[in-house]
Amino acid sequence: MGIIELYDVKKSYKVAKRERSFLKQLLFHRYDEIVAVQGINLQIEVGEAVGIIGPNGAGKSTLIKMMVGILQPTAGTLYVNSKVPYKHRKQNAKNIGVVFGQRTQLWWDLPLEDTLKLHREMYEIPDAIYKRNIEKFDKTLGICSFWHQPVRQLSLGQRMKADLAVALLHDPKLLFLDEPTIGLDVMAKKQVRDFLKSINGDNVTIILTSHDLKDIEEICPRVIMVNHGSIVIDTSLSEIKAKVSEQKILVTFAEQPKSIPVLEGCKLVSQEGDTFIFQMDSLKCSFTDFFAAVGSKNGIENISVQSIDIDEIVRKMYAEDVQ
Amino acid sequence: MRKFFRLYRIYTIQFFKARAEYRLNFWLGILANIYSYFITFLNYWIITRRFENIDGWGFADMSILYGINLFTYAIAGTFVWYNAFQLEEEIISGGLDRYLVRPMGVIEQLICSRFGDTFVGQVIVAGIFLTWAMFKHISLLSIGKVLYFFLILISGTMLQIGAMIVVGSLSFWLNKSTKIGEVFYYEIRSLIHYPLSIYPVWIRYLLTYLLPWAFINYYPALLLLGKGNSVIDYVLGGLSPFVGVGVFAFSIVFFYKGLQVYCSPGN
Repeated sequence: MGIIELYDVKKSYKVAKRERSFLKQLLFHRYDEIVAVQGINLQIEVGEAVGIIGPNGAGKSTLIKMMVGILQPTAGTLYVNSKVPYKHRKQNAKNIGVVFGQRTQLWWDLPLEDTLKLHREMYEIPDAIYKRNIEKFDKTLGICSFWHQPVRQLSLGQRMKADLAVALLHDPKLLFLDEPTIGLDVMAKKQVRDFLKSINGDNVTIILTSHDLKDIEEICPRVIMVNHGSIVIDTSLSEIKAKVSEQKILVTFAEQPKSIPVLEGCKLVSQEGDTFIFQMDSLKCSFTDFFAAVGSKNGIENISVQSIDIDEIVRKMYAEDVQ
Repeated sequence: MRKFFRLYRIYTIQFFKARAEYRLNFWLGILANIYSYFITFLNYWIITRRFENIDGWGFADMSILYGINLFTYAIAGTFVWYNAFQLEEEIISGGLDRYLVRPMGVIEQLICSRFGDTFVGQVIVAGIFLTWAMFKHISLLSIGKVLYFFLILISGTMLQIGAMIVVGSLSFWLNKSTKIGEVFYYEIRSLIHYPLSIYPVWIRYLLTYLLPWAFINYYPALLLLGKGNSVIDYVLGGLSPFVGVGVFAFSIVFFYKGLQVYCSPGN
């Protein structure tokens, strides 16, 4: 049995309909139903790290909020640690850690120390485990370097590290992260990612949403793409990459080329000074053909091949899905 | 429950630690409240001086009547005022999510999250006048009545806490509820600053059966001071503790009903 199981889970919201006239708006309340999640089935096993991606408003947050027990599904059943989260909210809360990148759990005017002590009480964490975890988080995240500073004085990166420490203090089996690296600098991002990888190595299941696909690429072997409230892709990132066969080829000619050859599966997309940029579909056209066609008539000075960046792939997938 | 009190203590200590960062603000808040509520008592003193009494209620009687209301309001305020009246903010911003992912009741966490420090001023003023008035009337009071007095302070506090939670919970359906709270809780409740007997009958019914604010102070004061005109007055006085508990229990059910329609906005 998986640590998370969703069977045909649906969630819709009622939204007050805007009436044309102000008076009508005041007197009558008519509601529109907005479907945020429509019939999702999903199984996640212990120890997995799953990235949830999708455009804004796709239903990612709603999905996570149902798993952590904030929202009640409109229909369907959902189990986390074999329990229904919104029914056994407190029990579920003991087994999960939650980090919402834009919403801190920390006590603004007090140092991290105080929030941690409070959580020790709330989660009834034994002293030995508390000490062990603090030491661990200091080694991996360096939390003791800002132990006594009020949280409002911390940098965004330090705050995220503090939030991670708070979320993991009670040794949860499951960690939910919503945009954990938002606004962080490159160094902090790397530290957070390395930390999450090591946590996952300790058999903590990770569910992560992020718009920074590097996060997903580094942490999550499994990727779920949500759009319009459904799962559209459930696979690994490398598989997504492999599916995309397009490549960019940058060619600089020794002199102005006399003619640009026309090839099946290859087209000239733009020209910047002497550099011509081609886009080639490697399923329809091979490099040999390309060099033969382009190189035989013109002298080539420089050539480089770029595989399309993951962001671009996903952007394309979002766009395709809309159509 | 023990866990709640332990956490409440820790939260409150932490709150004062954080508050110490804004020390001046803290003391000024309390002083302002002491000052303004002292003036209110002074008002009653002037009125009762000038007209000897208000419908048979002298200054000491008025101090008990108004004192019970203010004292219970202020104690309730230290527990829930900021949290209940901030609930609309938490609901609109989705800040409530924080509480929902922790292994503790949401109301308990809300109560813990902010100690109503500014209400300390009212507690002091009301406490002083209440104590004075009770000693003034010591000849009227039996041991039973003194016990009833303390019981009434507890149940009155529960009634006020309940009312604040209901006002806050309305935000689950209406998004904004503090305006409604001001009308139904503050404006209408201000009628109980005077003995109900000065009002037309329909207002008495309103404050007894629709919005039971009269159970906070009026009926208990009638019983304490022996001012009731009928058996019903004393029966209502005897029922007051139950009304307090009832309103409190209702507010908790009402809150959790509201939580079911909470749809944590955006992210």
